Amino acid sequence: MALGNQGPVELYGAEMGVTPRWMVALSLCIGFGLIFFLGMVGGVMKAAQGDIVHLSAATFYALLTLHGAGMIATVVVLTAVAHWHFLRRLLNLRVEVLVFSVLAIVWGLLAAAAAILVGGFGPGWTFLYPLPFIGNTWPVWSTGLFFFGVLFVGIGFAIFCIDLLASIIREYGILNGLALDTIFPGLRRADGKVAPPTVIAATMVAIDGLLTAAAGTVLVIALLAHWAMPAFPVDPLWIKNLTYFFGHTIANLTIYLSAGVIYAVLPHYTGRPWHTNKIYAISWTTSLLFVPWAWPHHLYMDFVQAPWLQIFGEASTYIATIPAAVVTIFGALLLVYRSDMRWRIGSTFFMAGLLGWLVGGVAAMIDATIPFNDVLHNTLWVPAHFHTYLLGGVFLFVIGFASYFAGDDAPTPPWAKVFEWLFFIGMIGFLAMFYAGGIEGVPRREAVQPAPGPLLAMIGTVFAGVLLVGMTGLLIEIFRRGRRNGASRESDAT
Amino acid sequence: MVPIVGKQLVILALWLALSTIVVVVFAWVVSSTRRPAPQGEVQPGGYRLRRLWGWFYGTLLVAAFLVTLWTVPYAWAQGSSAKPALVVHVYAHQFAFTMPQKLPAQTPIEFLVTSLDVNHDMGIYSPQGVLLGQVQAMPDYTNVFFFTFPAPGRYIIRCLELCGAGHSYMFQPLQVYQPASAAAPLARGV
Ligand code: HEM
Ligand SMILES: [Cu+2]
Ligand SMILES: [Cu+2]
Repeated sequence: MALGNQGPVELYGAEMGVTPRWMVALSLCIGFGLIFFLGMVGGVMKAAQGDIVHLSAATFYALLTLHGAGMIATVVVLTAVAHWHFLRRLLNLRVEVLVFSVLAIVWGLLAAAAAILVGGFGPGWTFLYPLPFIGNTWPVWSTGLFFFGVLFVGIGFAIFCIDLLASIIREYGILNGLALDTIFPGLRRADGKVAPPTVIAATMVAIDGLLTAAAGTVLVIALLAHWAMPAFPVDPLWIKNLTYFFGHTIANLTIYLSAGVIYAVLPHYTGRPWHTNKIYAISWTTSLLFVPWAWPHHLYMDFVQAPWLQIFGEASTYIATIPAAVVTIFGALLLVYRSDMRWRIGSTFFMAGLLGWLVGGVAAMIDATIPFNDVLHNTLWVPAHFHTYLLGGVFLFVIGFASYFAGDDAPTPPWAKVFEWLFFIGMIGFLAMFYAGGIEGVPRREAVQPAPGPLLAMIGTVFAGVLLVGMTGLLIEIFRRGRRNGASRESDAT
Repeated sequence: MVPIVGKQLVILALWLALSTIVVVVFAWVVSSTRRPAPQGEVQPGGYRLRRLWGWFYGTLLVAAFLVTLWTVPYAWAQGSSAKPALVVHVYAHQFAFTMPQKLPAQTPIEFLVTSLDVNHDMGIYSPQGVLLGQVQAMPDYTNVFFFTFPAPGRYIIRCLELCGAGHSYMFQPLQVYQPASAAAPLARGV
């Protein structure tokens, strides 16, 4: 099996002074640090909307942009690194490439943060043309710097995907990376080796990730050209489509990266293997084909958009949910059902994350239904649903992974349970206020909201505080375990 | 608080109902781990259930998709049923909408919506504060949007797309009046 190749990889990394384990640990620490800081920024925004603190509109929109862009880039890094942790051995991945792509993303994020914090750049994380260029409150240099930052994030992610794809081609071939050999006997390998589910997920992410990064690069280069030469023509409708192709898909892919982690981790807690079969091949090929076509659901209210795109966008969004609902989440529940599950921080967070993914997914599908979208589009329903599956899904998977990675064999101590409860109660209350705001028609992205926005935001701020306290306690516990177990592992080695 | 009526009520009920089912299923699966059984024992039943669930879910999606095809708010879908009695131009710009301040109720209106600077979005809020519909306002493009004000009153037109520092203040009243022709039979009622 490919597992036998572990040795040289470890050595190769060690030569650079970076062992893969250290790279994963380091990325987790940077990522959690960023999440904590950006979560505080989120709390401050809520407090401003709830009239608890005062921010100028320009400051509010700068913080909004920082929070959104920063969180997305951070969860891309965190989920990519977590998935990489399992793929490294299966695909013989080189740690240098990961170091390089994480550096590029973090570097891009720093450039974007400088544009935002120093320049006050604040058109929202989707930077919809032409607001970055006209009718705004920030200097021209900050617009350019922000786009350079996005370019670096795109390049970092592209490098990650290229390395994945190249390794998959080498070890399995693209078709067998999707396990299509389970359907077409002609593809079957002599040694009978079939790609495990986590590799299938990686194949889909690598291909769609490259498409996304390519779209992002075209987008940012066009905008940079326009920035350097305002005469360079840019079409607002084309740019909006490209923006959401990039933005929607890259955010969405963090869930598919997480799925790869779930396939690898749940067997550890349930003591049951997770096998590849035909259904996985069909389902991931479907995701591969339809996830890149879901973006038009962001343009339903642009009535000039070609009708076939509107309709196809809705159909693709629906179709893209089938693999998740029928295969991955159902499969996870089946794996857990009547298993001898060890309930630890890790397993608890994985189950909770699956729940958040599903509940947020239902809210997303309602929003992606055209006749409902005209009363939900750009209301708080939007941050409601994506916080449910990013904060209440992807982020929980990352915490679950960190806990698994740090060593999750001891039962959760009572004081950590308290933080767990604080985290979940805070999160549910925080999310509920977003949903309530959406149903009440309160717009998203408002420095000053119409009623009942401020009241809901005030309650939401309290819940956000509880959430952040719970999160701090949990991260400290995970960090402590990581240090303890990491130290004992090192002393084993010497 | 804004009353929860119409589409918003349907949406809330739908989401709460589906989420409750999801939560119950999860609780059931979690509690099942208290009486473990070998994987071989539960898997065949699980696969049968998955096939059923797949068919059920697929059918549900196809049905939902077909229903929505008939109810999309686009001009090409509304076509002949919504012959506009009035054409109204809307020019969004930082931070106001240039458009009439008075419009008739119960009259199919064709809004031609565009922007003079950045992207905006024209959201229509009823006198009770309920969001009834919206359309984006994009520079260089004109969005054709059909809307009929259900009843007279003081509506609010509010921007729903982040459009700069004044975004939160981009809203304005719109007086919707009872048109002369429709006024006679309804005047007493209200
Ligand atoms: C930790 C607690 C968090 C808090 C308190 C928080 C709070 C907020 C608030 C108040 C907004 C503005 C909503 C509006 O009025 O439009 C927001 C937007 C957003 N949040 Fe969070 N959030 C948190 C976690 C996350 C996480 C984990 C992610 C992603 C992984 C995330 C991604 C976003 C994005 C993408 C936006 C939209 C930014 C934009 O509109 O440009 N947030 N968040
Ligand atoms: Cu506006
Ligand atoms: Cu606006």
